[in-house]
Amino acid sequence: MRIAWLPRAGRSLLVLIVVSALTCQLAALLPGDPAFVILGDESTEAQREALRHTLGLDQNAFVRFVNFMGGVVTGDWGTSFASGRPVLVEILSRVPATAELVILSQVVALAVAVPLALHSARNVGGKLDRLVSTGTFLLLAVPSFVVGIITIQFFAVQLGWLPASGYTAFVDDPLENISHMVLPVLTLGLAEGAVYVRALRGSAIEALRSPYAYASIVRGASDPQLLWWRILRPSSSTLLALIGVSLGVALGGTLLVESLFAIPGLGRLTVSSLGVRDLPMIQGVVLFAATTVVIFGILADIAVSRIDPRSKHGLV
Amino acid sequence: MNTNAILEVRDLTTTVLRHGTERTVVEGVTFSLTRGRSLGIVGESGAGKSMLIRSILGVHPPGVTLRVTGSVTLDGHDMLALRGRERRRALATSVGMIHQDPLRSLNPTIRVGDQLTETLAFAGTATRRERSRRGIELMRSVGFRSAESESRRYPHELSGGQRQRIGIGAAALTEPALLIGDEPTTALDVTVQKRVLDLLHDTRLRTGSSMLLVTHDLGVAAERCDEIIVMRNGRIVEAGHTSEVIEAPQHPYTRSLLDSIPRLDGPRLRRLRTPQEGALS
Repeated sequence: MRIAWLPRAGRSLLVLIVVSALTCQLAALLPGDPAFVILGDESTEAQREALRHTLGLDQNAFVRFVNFMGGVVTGDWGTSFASGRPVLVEILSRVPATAELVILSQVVALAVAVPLALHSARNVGGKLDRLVSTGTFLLLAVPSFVVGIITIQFFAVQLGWLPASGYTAFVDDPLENISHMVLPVLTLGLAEGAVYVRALRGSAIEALRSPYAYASIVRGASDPQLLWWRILRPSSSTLLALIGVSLGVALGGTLLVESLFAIPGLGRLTVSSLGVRDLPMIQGVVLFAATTVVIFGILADIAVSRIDPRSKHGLV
Repeated sequence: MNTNAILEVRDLTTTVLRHGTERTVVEGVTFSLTRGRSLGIVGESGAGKSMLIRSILGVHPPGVTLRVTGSVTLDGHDMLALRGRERRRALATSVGMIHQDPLRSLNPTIRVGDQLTETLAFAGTATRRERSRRGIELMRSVGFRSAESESRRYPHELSGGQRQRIGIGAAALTEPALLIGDEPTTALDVTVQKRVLDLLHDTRLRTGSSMLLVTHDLGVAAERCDEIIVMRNGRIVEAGHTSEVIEAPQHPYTRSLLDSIPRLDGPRLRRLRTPQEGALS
């Protein structure tokens, strides 16, 4: 098991390098000239040429890639065209809002999904199971921004209980921060939760069909004991892998939900950078997102090996 | 009515209700098991043996609804009437069950020592320390020499025979009035089978339990049980003392089961022909 981490780490590094190489091609692929966007249409060709040179856009993609990687290694991710500030500083300043949103929504998703999945698996085809199946299908079928718009309409506009959008840092005003977080967290959490319910319910049904579940029932396990002490653990490998993927992807920025609720996180940074062809910024957020995906993939693998002893021997 | 019966089953009929269809899998089964004795339930797969056990215990297969009628009295409990906590307590204290597949009947994510004593954990009647002590003690009694370290292993780290010894230890934990073996040796090597059956026998003597041994192997039942019932298509076709059933089978089905046991002194059967080389490719 220890040995297997080396190739795993190597593959992860390769993924990050490939992602970086691809984003360095963006300058050639994106329509529109960044120099034109920055200077406006009243600029002269000479001015634009000079700007392209200072931005390094006149060099070929390979040179830009080498320069970019050199910078990444030394902690210099480049300078934003749009704000003139270092890319890494901009990214790190956006992390708290996204991280708070993502972590809280995962907590909500799991708190809702795990009990529902386990108890509907125990009574397949029962009232709860049918309700949960319909509900999760509905949530999966409807895009999260539609759910978001509906929650805004209901809780913010009609009831006026919560703000419709915006963000206040927790350190500035904890109460205000929470009230701004409720709706986006619900929107994101329900969407994630629906996926988790379906994954865990399936594995739990399989585990409940196993002879060891029968054995535990004959030994006098109540439903909660059976489900929480004996079924949850062997059923959670798929769920853990899914959590790893969602966390990794979402920490790179939740584009729709952040845009909908005007949360100044990485997702909004990505969208606004794309809008103004801020190439260094785009490269930075893409590399950051790829890194979170890779890291949480590895963390999920570790979690699975901890929770299911068979996986250490490649038996699962 | 047998007043000294540990298990009394009367006119038990079980119907599987599924997708609006009904299928009767156990029909009009009546038998009783006297305290301290052993009963073999023999029949081919699909004869209704496992469903009979599930009906007695009231543990339905997942996703399936059973309609069970008749009466089951187990160690004084009216099993068909008990619900919830009372039923769980009756199961935990009166029944010890050994399952068919020793690997799949152990939870892959729980250390074997903890599974051995899980009955106590579910009942909440013993502290973690007591359970661990009891688990190690039981593992010694079923032949684990270094029980202390072996109790911390996971099922996949044990051999098939070791796993089934864990199963027997777990069944004996509460010294139950009734041990149920549901094909306990079917998944094991022939050499391991005998040792497991011997251990089951020793355990039964130690705990004073009665035994219900479900098997498709009439030979095993004849060797280990005082009485035998033969099931086919959900019904009992033959019942009696082992010697009567073996020596003077009444039903043609029993005779065919007896004939299917290979014997050293029986007529020599012709070997199946081996395909010619190359004929399969």
